[in-house]
Amino acid sequence: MNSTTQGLYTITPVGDLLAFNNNRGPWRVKEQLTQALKRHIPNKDTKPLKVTTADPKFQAIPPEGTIIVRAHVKVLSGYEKADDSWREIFQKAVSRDNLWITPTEQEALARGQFTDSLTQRLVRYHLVDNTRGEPTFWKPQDVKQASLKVGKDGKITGKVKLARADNSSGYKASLVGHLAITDDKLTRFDLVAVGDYWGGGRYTRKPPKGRFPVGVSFRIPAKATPFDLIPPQGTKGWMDPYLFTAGTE
Amino acid sequence: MRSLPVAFAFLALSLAHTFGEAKNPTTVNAENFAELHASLQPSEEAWTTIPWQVSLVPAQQLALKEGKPLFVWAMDGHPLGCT
Repeated sequence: MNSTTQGLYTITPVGDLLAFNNNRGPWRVKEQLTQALKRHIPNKDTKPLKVTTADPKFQAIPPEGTIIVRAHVKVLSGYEKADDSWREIFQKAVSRDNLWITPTEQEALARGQFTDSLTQRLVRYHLVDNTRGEPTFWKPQDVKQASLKVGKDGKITGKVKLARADNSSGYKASLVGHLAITDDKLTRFDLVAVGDYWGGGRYTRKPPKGRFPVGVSFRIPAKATPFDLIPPQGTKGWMDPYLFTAGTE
Repeated sequence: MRSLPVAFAFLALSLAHTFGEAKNPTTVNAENFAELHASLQPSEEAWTTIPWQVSLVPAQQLALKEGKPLFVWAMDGHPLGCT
């Protein structure tokens, strides 16, 4: 196949293609689903797939006891009027990712400390504008300042300064939040970062011009959903760097 | 054909959720924290009302059980950042 294999597939449980479409327009998707349902003939002889051991490269599983925190990013203002409806959607988008906080890092938070691993993970993989597509994560040398502190009352304060080597993109933000530990378990992690952002990435083009405000929020979901099981984007293909279990790169 | 690894992450996109234009804060402090934290949460996302499966095997087993085809969102990129 010479064209992209990305897209929306409708297949039978045995894997036969019923319909394909690589356009997210709702009417195109609806037409695809309608066609697929017309073509689909259930086959009672089809066997269920067996559960096998997942390749950790493609299915990252967090360490036992890890808390999954939702992370959302939004460009707060600064866009020029969009020239098409898709662009307008991106401009108003709130992104979604999951931040992992390991048991060791929770223990440190209970002592009032952000470990270097948690600080670096939060800053490099989650304080990034991912509202228009996959972001370019910050490299270790892009982190000019990353200070996160926990007070005795559980209040979190912090400051970050991030900038790429050529200064094509950066983020200078302050952070405020609150955490709570109940029975040695992290039960609250409400955090907000707000500050000036500039530039975009390879797949996050057309940011606002100049400097623009970007907000990032974190929270432990009140109710778990299947989407929380999707590994953080920073783990894609490389689990160790995200967890900082094999150095910082 | 190129393989489609995480493909089955069936969506999860940061699919554009919209809400009213926020004010233009350039910093966060104790006074505006609660309002900012609330405004930076998506309130309603239609795609989350679909009972997506995030792994292929249980999705196939469920499709068989219900006599339905599978709808697979297959992207080379990460589903959470694949706007």
